[in-house]
Amino acid sequence: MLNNMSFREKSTWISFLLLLLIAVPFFYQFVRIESGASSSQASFHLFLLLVIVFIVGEVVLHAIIVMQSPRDARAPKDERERLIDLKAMRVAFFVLMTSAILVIVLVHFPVDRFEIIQALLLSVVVAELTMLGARLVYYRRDV
Amino acid sequence: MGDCAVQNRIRRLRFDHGEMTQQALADRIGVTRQTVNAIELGKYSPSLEVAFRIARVFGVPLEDVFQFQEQP
Repeated sequence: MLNNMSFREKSTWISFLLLLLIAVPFFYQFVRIESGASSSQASFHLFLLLVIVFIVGEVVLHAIIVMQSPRDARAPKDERERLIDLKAMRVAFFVLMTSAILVIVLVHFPVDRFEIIQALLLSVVVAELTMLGARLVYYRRDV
Repeated sequence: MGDCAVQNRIRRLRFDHGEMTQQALADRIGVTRQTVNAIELGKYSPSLEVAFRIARVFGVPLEDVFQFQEQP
């Protein structure tokens, strides 16, 4: 299956899985803070660690796939790949708009600033995961 | 008007041109091998520019590569 994937599909898989890998523990930590099981200091350290894991993972894994197919990595996106990007962006836009409206609704409830910021961050992460996930679906469907 | 479908003879034309690989065709028209595969399977309709480039590679008119079929 990996051999059938284009360079950009592999790249999308890397970003999707890495983002999922760091988003789950980060938001789980937020739930622990809310329930009093952890401190915001520990949350900050975890956040730094996850950002480092994300950056190092992106660089190392992308370096590996670039070495596997250097010509594809240098080539600009073709028309089908640009179409896939646009279609995925459209799906993610609706997710982002919906979650933004939900955050606006959340503001009218008795929640503190920390929770609103977490909700905003969750919106952005979910929209990004949706965009990457939609791209993967379109790549698998051949558009 | 019914649904429209664009069919193609790329697989046959590649065979007639010394079993040209999808990668070789992709390199000559400036797209990825996966895009050539998607066009060949009829899952993706290329732009006019790419369609003309494909026809030029095989040295045939556009109509010999792509056929437009209106479905009821």
